[in-house]
Parts: sequence; C-alpha cells; structure tokens
Amino acid sequence: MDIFTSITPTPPAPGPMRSVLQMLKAIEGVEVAILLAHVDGPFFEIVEATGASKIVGSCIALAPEGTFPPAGRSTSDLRMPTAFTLMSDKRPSWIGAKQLTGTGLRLVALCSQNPPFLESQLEAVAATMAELDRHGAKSELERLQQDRISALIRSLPVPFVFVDAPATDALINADARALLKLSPTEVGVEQIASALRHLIQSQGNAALHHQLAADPRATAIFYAHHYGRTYKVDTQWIDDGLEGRIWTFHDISEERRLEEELRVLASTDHLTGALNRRAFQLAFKSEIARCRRYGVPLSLIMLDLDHFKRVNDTYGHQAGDAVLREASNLIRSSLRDSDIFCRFGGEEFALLLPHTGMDEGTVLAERLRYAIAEKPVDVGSAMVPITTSVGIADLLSPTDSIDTMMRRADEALYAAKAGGRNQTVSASQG
Amino acid sequence: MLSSVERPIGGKLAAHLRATMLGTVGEHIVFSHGFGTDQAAWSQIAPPLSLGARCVLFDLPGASPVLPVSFDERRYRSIAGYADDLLNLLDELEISRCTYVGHSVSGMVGVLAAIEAPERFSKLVLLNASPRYINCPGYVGGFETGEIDALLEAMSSNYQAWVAGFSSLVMPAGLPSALADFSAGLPSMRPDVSTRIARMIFQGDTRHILPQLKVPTLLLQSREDVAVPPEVAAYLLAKIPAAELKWIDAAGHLPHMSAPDQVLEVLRGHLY
Repeated sequence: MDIFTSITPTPPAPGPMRSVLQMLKAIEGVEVAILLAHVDGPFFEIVEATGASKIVGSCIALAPEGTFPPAGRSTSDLRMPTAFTLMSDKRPSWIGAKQLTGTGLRLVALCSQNPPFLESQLEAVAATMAELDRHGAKSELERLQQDRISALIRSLPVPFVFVDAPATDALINADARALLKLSPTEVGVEQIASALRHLIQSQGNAALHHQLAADPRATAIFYAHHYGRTYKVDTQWIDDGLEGRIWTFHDISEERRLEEELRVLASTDHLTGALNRRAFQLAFKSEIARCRRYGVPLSLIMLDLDHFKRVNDTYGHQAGDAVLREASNLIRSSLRDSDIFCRFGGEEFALLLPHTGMDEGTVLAERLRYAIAEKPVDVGSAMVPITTSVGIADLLSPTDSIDTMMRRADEALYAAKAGGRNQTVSASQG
Repeated sequence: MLSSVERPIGGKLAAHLRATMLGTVGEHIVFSHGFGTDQAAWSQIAPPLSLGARCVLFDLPGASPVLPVSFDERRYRSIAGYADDLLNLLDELEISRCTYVGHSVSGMVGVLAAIEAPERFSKLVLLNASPRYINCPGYVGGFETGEIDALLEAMSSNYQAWVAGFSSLVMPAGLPSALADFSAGLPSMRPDVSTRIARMIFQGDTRHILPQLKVPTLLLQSREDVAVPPEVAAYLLAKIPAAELKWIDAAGHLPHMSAPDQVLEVLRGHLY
C-alpha cells in the first residue's frame, strides 16, 4: 500500500448492510428492516433502516431491556416501541429480532402479516450481517489507524521520515520532503531512501552510511550540513508493531549561529577584537599544559603603549581608541594563526606564542615595537607617534605556571618602562 | 372539595412525568399539554371535569418548563418516545381504557399511542393538533421550510427574544392573563432542550399514519391559530377514519387557556 495515496481518508464502504436489509425487505410481508446498535441502557441507535424517510428520530428506547429482542412472534400481546409502528405505517403484526453475534447490533424485521420465512432464515440473515460487520469493523479499524498515523506524522513539528523494514513503504511529512528537496512527484520509497543516502554521504559521513548498512538496527546521531542549514539528525530502528527506521531532523542552524555569536561576544574585547582577559586565561591554561606535555617552548609577551594617558588627555578618548585599534591591527597582522593575542586591560596587551622560545619571541617583540613606532596613528587632528614597552618571558621548567610566567613577563615590562620606555626586556632565565 | 385536590400518583414513570390525578370516581381522562406549557395549562378544564371523572395530568419531559431529574433527550428524539411514555404510564397506573385529551404536539402523541394500542382508548380529543407544520405539494401546513428554519434559528440564537415573540403569536390579543401564564413557562425552559424538541415537532411528519387510527376522534380547532391553519383541521378530518371536527370560537393556539368555557362545554357534551 502506498502511504502517500492512502493519506486521503476513504469514506466507509456504502453499506453492504443496507443491501442485506433491502433484500430482507424484498421478502413479501416484510414492512421494514432495521439495524439497531445498542448505545447504553434502553437506548438503541438506528444504524440503517429501510423506508427511513418516516421520521422517528435517531434513537429508540426499548424497555424493559430484558424482553428484547423477542423471538419471531405475533405482536398482538407485545408492547413494542411506537417508533416501529410509525416506521411501518401501521402496527406490525409480526416482529422478528435477532442479535448479531459478536456485535452490539440487532436486526429487526417488522411484518404486516406472518412472513413466509422461518425463524432460522432470519437467523441466517443475522449471521451474514454479523460477518459483514466484523469485516467492516476490521477494515474500518485499519483505515482509522492508518489515518491516525498519517495525521500524526503530518502534524509533527519536526521533519520526520519512516522507512519500513523491507524498504517497501515510507512515511514522510512535508517538512522532511522540503528538507530532502524531494519534488512533489518523488513519492516512492526508493526516492526517499536515495535522498537520505545522499544526505549522509554529502556530509562525508560515508562511515556512518557503512555503519548503518552493516547494522540495520544501529542508532545514530550526527550533524548534517544541508543546503546552508545545519541539522542534528537522529536515526533509530524501531520494532514496536511497526518495524523500520525512523529519521528525525532538528534544524540547529540558528542555535549554532547564536552559539558562535555568544562565544565571540564572551571571549573578545569589543574595541580591538583581541581576546579578553578571561578568554586569554583559558587559552593560556590549555597552551601551557600542551607545551609542557610535548616539551615545546612557549613565550609570553606583555606589551604596553607608552604614555597612553597623554594621548587620551591631549586628543580625547576617541583618539585613544583609534590608537588602541591601530596598535592591535599592527600586532595581529604580525602574528601566526597559532599565536594568541589579548587586550589585557587599558593599553596593555599580552601575546602567547606556542612553539616559540625566548630568542624567537624577542625577535617578534622587537619587530612589533618597530612596526608600531614607525607608523604614527592618524587621529584626525594629528598624526600621533606611539612607542611601546615590551617584557617577555618563556616557559622554563615543567613546574613553571601561568602565574610565575606572568610575573616574570610583568617584571620585564616594568624594567623596560623603568629603563626609559620604547624598548624590549627579556625576563631573566634563571 | 376533595375531588379537586391533586394527588401525585403511581410509580417510577409517573414520578418522572410528575403525574397527578384529580377526582376519585368515573372514567379516566388523560390530559397531555403542548409545547411550552405544562399540566397547569389544564387548570381551567380538568378541575370542573373531575367532579365526574378521574383526570390524569402530567408534564411532557423537555416540552414543559421544568425538566425531570431523569431526563434523557435520546428518549424524545421522536414523538414516538412520548407515545411510549403515554402507554407505559397507562400500564403503570393500571388504566385499561381512557379518554385522551391532547393539545398541539400531544394530539399526535395520542394518535400514535392509539394506533399502537387501540384497546386502551375510548376516545381521542385533539386540540389544535397538526401532523405536519411545513407546507408541501398538496398539503397546507402553515409554514414554509424557510420560516421554520428561521423560527428554530431565532430560538437557538436568542431564546428570550424568541419567547416574547412566540408568546404573542400563539396567544390572541386582549387576554393578558392567559398570555402571562404561557409566557411565564417558556423562559424557564432550557433553551438547548426546548430548541431540540421544537425542531422535532416542527420538522416532524406523521401524516402517513393517520389512516391507521381506528379510535373515535374529536378534533377541536380554534380560529386564527398562527401555528395550525384551518386547512390542517380539514386534513385531519379527511384522513382520520372516525373523526369529528368542532370549531372553537376563539383566536390563538391555546383555546383551553384563552377560551376555557367553550372548550369545557364541548368536552362535557362529548365525554359524559
């Protein structure tokens, strides 16, 4: 069965029940044939009736409950619902009623004279109808369940695909169709499966594809970048009456973008784009551990703009900001990708240089000092020359820590300041 | 006077229908009211008659202002349900034979019950009854389908306003006290139930069953009844095998309330 064509509910089959009632009515003497469904207490709903144009309401109360249905019999001494009389045009002279075994239904035949059929024939009709009802009820139930599942999947707020175990049938909702870029004509299970394969493989998730092929019951969660969006894809095997693989997709593009934005916001200095002090500390921690583990050198440069307060006082804070930005740009352009650059506070910067010893670090420090000094900053009203004082320290022993390295670099910077500024001082190595 | 004291009677169904009896001797006269009233509609008819007869009064569930505790609307989706009630009530009260007086919808209830169990009725009196309210080819019922729809629509959308309009329609002008009786009942009915019952009454059609009625029937019909035109009375007279028609010289749909003396006089002439 193709789920995509069966999504439209089909109306219940126009009653074979009605046909049987009509056949019963065609027997001479039979005035009305009625099918009643027991509702509760004395109440019976009229399911079908011949000559239903005679309005009797939809419900018939049969009291007392125990005396109905009577065996086929004359009605002369029998109290019947007046509705039967109304439906027959006159008081029926014979009534036959049978319970349809295994159902809540009752068949009633109202006759204007003693009919030419036997009790057992009425029984046979009732048995036929009970059989019809069982079939009808079963297919109705199946249809209902199918409809319910389809409706449920249609209204799921996430893209959803189900491919059954033998891969002969698939259920998919509109969101998933859009995500997989399936055209309206691509409704076959093969096309859906192919789109899923494409999604996995285009992600370089070939290993995942192999894994799922090798173990059809594997559960996997992976991320897929698909047509500019990022999805968290969850796929698992279900075997719960329905057997097959379900796929759900959670579009996390926005989440990812926000995460990245927050990460940048939280870790960088707004003015210069350099890392802030907190982020630098974190990076320092992991770098120092890594360099210690692999026994590679690590240098730390502390760099301070000379007489920065004077720039602010003379040219204003905007000029001060321009100087900070310009100095940051110059520093950043001289760094390698692996170097870590931080605005430590005020006009002080810190640079962490992995895989770099004191000698190399000093060369870089001097290069930075020259680069900055050579290029006065245009603050609009003037070209402001800037010099820097630099202190540098390197990782000494496996016991050296962030604190001790920082202290040595700071001391070197202080020495550079004390020595007249515009110079680089290396921390003592002992 | 002892005979004019109402006594509650009977068992479970009689309690459900709030049945009461007036009088202690003579034949049984069962009174059944129409839509929008209750057994008090007979307050000017039954007491005088109870001197020589036992008058049984009761309320039609859903058609009278107060719903019985055990009301189940499913039982009353067809007027056949009321006919069943009537016959069961006679069983319960062990009334083997009676005269039945039914107003409006209760007229047809009596017709059905008398077709079902003719041996239980010596005579039917139908007061302003109608087997069908809607006109159709060859039949004048008094209303076009659209009019009934509008009436029912008005009823379900603004019940209180509908009550005011309907009361003045069915009662003749210049009879404020009777009108007050009638319109006092309607507003206290439950709009959802009374709308459903009204729909059942106004959309029903029991014409096909009339030729089956074998019990002698007296038709009483007032003039200028907005609910039942004169053609309907003529139709009933033609279709019911043993019928007689008496005109009441009063206007409105409720002659037993607006012209009780005339109704009483005709009844006296026919009952004893």
